[in-house]
Amino acid sequence: MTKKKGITLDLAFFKKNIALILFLALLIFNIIATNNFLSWITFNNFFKQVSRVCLVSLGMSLVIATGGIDISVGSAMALGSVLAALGIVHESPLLILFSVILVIGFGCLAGVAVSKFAILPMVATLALRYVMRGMAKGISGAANVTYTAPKLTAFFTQPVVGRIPVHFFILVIAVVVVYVLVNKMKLGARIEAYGNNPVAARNCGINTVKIVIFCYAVTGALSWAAGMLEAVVVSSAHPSTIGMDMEIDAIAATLIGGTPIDGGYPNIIGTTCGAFLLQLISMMCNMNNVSYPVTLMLKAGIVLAALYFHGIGKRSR
Amino acid sequence: MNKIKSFFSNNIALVGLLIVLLVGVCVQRTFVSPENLCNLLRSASLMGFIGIGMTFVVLCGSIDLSVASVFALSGYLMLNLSQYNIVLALLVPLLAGAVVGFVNGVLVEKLSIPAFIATLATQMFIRGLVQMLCSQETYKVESVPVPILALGRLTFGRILPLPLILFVTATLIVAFILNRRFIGRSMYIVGGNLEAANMMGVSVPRTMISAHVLCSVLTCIGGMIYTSRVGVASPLAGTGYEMYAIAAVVLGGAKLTGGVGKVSGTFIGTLIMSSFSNIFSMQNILSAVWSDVVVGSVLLIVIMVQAVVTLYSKGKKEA
Amino acid sequence: MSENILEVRGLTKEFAGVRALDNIEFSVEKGEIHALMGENGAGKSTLIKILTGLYKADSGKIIFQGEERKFTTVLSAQKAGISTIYQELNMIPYLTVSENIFLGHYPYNRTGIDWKKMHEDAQALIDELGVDIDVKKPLNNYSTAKQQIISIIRAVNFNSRLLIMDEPTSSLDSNEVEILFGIMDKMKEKGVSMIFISHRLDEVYKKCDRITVLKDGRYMGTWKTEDLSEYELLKTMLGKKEVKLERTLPIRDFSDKEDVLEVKNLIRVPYVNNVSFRIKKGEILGLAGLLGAGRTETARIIFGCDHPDSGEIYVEGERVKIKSPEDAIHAGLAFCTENRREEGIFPDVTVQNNLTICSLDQLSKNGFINAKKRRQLSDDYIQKLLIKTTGGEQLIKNLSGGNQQKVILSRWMAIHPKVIILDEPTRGIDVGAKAEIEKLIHDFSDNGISVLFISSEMAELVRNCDRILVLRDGKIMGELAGEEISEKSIMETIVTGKEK
Repeated sequence: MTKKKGITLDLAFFKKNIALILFLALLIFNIIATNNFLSWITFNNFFKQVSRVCLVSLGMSLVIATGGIDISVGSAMALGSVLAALGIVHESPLLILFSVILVIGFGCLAGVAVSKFAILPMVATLALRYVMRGMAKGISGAANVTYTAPKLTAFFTQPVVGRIPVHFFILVIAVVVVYVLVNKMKLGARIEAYGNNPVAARNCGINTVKIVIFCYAVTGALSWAAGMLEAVVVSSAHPSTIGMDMEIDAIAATLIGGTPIDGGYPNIIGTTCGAFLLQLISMMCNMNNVSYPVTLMLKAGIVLAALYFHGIGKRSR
Repeated sequence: MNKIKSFFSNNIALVGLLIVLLVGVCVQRTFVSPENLCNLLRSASLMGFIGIGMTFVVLCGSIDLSVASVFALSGYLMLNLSQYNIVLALLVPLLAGAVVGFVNGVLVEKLSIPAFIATLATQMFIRGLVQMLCSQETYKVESVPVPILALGRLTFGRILPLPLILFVTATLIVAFILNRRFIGRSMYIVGGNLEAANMMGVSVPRTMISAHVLCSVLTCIGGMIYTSRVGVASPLAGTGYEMYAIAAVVLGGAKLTGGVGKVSGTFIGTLIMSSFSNIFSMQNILSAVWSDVVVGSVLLIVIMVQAVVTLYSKGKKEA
Repeated sequence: MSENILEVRGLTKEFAGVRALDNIEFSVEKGEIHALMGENGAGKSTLIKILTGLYKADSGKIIFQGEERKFTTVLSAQKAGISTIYQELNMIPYLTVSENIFLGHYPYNRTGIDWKKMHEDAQALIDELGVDIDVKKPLNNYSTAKQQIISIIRAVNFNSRLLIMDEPTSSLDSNEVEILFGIMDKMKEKGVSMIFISHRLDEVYKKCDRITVLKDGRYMGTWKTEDLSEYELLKTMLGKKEVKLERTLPIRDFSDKEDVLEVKNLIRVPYVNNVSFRIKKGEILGLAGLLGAGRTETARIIFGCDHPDSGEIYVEGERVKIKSPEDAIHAGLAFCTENRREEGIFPDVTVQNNLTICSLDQLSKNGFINAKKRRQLSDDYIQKLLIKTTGGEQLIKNLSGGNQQKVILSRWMAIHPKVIILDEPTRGIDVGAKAEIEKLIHDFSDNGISVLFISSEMAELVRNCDRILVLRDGKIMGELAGEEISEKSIMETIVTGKEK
């Protein structure tokens, strides 16, 4: 037993930080192998794209930490951004505010369905996925909502400090906030405990319903933000394309990052690295002319591989 | 009195169907015209195949989110192969479906990956595959052979579409498997009490994999009929059908935790869903895109009511 | 003497070097109801699992109907004629009664399963017993008792000659028990043998022909029911000669202390039947009784894990409404559950976080945890309780059972409760750690915390309690205090009760 300790420890370290290690390895590989990789353009592009995947993944990590799942994130992005875009078109701040509230409200609804009604998270969010996407389409008449808001667009397209885009700062802030929430706050400690053993959590006087609702609501809020980021780049919101396939990216990032699928500690740094890794893979595929479909297949494979690698759920199904 | 009560509580889906039909007649008189009913039943048949397939997996307590992509895949395969050989065009998609179902079953049962994640991954994978095969565009073939076209378009005596005949036949066969064959019963047993299934010597992997294979194969039939009807294969064909199918199964009285459900219920559930879409397309108040909203809401409400009823009835049992 | 249907000779089974069964001798006669008695860890369930093919014995013989048999699966045991009647385990709740009876043995006609014949045959079997059950209804329409009857019918229909009934009555009320007993009588007339496991002494004495007692994996003997008094039975099951019964607690007088917790007329059918008691400040009150006597159930109700049918709870004289553990903690209660692994610890969480999970409110300001204070608190307790760990950052699942238990006790100490309920705190813990935990119980008391102490080890109760309530079948049989407390008096109280 003692002889093997060194090896198992290393393996544990490797396992724990697999997302970071793979990301760094791929990064170094690209710096060496891909032409023009190390440039401000790449940096800008990378953060513009990774920021939204990462925001959604942060929320997904919280939800998965409670042993749940949320496959309505892409639709939440669409609904939020379409409503907000309409708000910009009609110069109505109230509508923009309403878009946030509505998306968070749907998050709460999912949380209530899961915690109060004991509905399978997958089914509850599957229903909401179509409700929200449908609403986005219905409100916009299934057409692109285009707006002109030069200041807003400029804010998100021009770099703010030096050559660094605003996405970078938004991303950093979001990661730090969620990290602090999980690791430094009461609520985070309770989420971890609940995810690890719901029965014991109840016995410790933790209000389990509140925790679950909170996690889904935060995911709603972060999805809204991600939707805004996606829409603002092109000054328009298309109800059927915004947030498409986002759930698989977010789930993949979370699972690679090491948050257990059946609940437990939400590994925020891992999730962030996982999102970075996925984005890097997408970019690589893109820069090397690998088509989107193949990238999609690759990501599906990564999800299954991540599940297999981190050891599959103890309480499956 | 009691008999009527128990009849309705056993056939809530039927009541739902009646209500929907009534609404349909109120909204638009032409709703009950032979042409419209024929249309309704034809579109019901397309989605119905997924629904009755989904019944198998839901009975086992599993789920299959990959049906939408499998639906698209089968259409592409059929259309592509129809240029070479009609028999292959009809058989290969089914075979492909069986393979996907088998993979799903193995992922869920042998590797014990939670079903929704495993099938979500296969959904994405196959969608990617179809997009790649179609080069991300709608796939067309110069001339589609007549038998392939007939699959989705043939109508007997103007009101009896071939898809409906196939759908009803498939439903009867599924009902026969579920009620009269051991493999069908073992799905109820596995979904109803996994531990008991193991103890009784019911092979859980065999049952689970069979259910997933049957689900995918039936979905493929649906996809082939659909493609034959529209004449082209699109990588986005069938998007959202997994929810329609799950909704149909749940409306039909099945429990997503497994062990409860009937194919007759799913049949009625499918009719409800199709009538829904049909009515939606006929009215002018809300545009057709809202139908997803309504379907999603109905699904959510039905499962919530189901959950409340289960919680409530736990305390009350006949002595 | 009638012939034996089952003979077990020299059965031995080890788990990781621990003998769960040691050379068991056991036999069941044709058509008898044979009680198998023993407390937790006596080896009953291991024996049953070997008989039904779930476990394999290390050595020994099973002779069933005159032949030596080795069962490898439940199915093979069932085919041979041994079936187990669990609460609901091998039934499918949503399927019809008739299908449950014929599960896996469906009658077929030319086209497939013959439902008509199945319903008719099933109804005939039911009618023969004179029970009011409609076989076309789903199984879960019926009460647990009827489900068990159906389970019995199925087993007998499968040609089972030996039924193993594992605590069939534990969740039944008295009427239901009567119905079940009626069926058992009928089965007995048919020549079916039954092994009956129950912790309700009344039932054993009412229904069983012979009693076999196991203790700590050893065979203690078999008696005809009429030859073994309840007291002798308890003594065989529970009595430990080798353990010293010295009280480690001085006799203390609490009459001038105030009541901290009062429970009035707590009822939860059929587990808890009108339980009332009070605990004074700093007092250690023991709950004694056999398994299933309603001790854990009482504790769970007080702490809000289960809801009572009726009853009132007062803390320091004030009525409190406890609907969840959250409320209970708020009222000043703490509860260390009997299932440490399933309901106590957070296995993949650090020792420190496990220890401080309940005291987060006092450790944080505006929602932010003061990491320093948290570490301080956890380190303090690790030191004070001598918890063996590499540090607060170790995952709790890597600690030994005793140390895990100490972490949980620290968790509750840290919130300074008024009353702590300890349900089997020493279960699955080695001897050294046991002594330490017993000492901690005294520390609680010395610090003015009242303790409600549940244990199946009578010696533990005798050593550590100021007062003991004795429960049987959910009822309080009597109360023992001070010098009255002894193993003998507890057993006598279980048997006969005690007048106040």
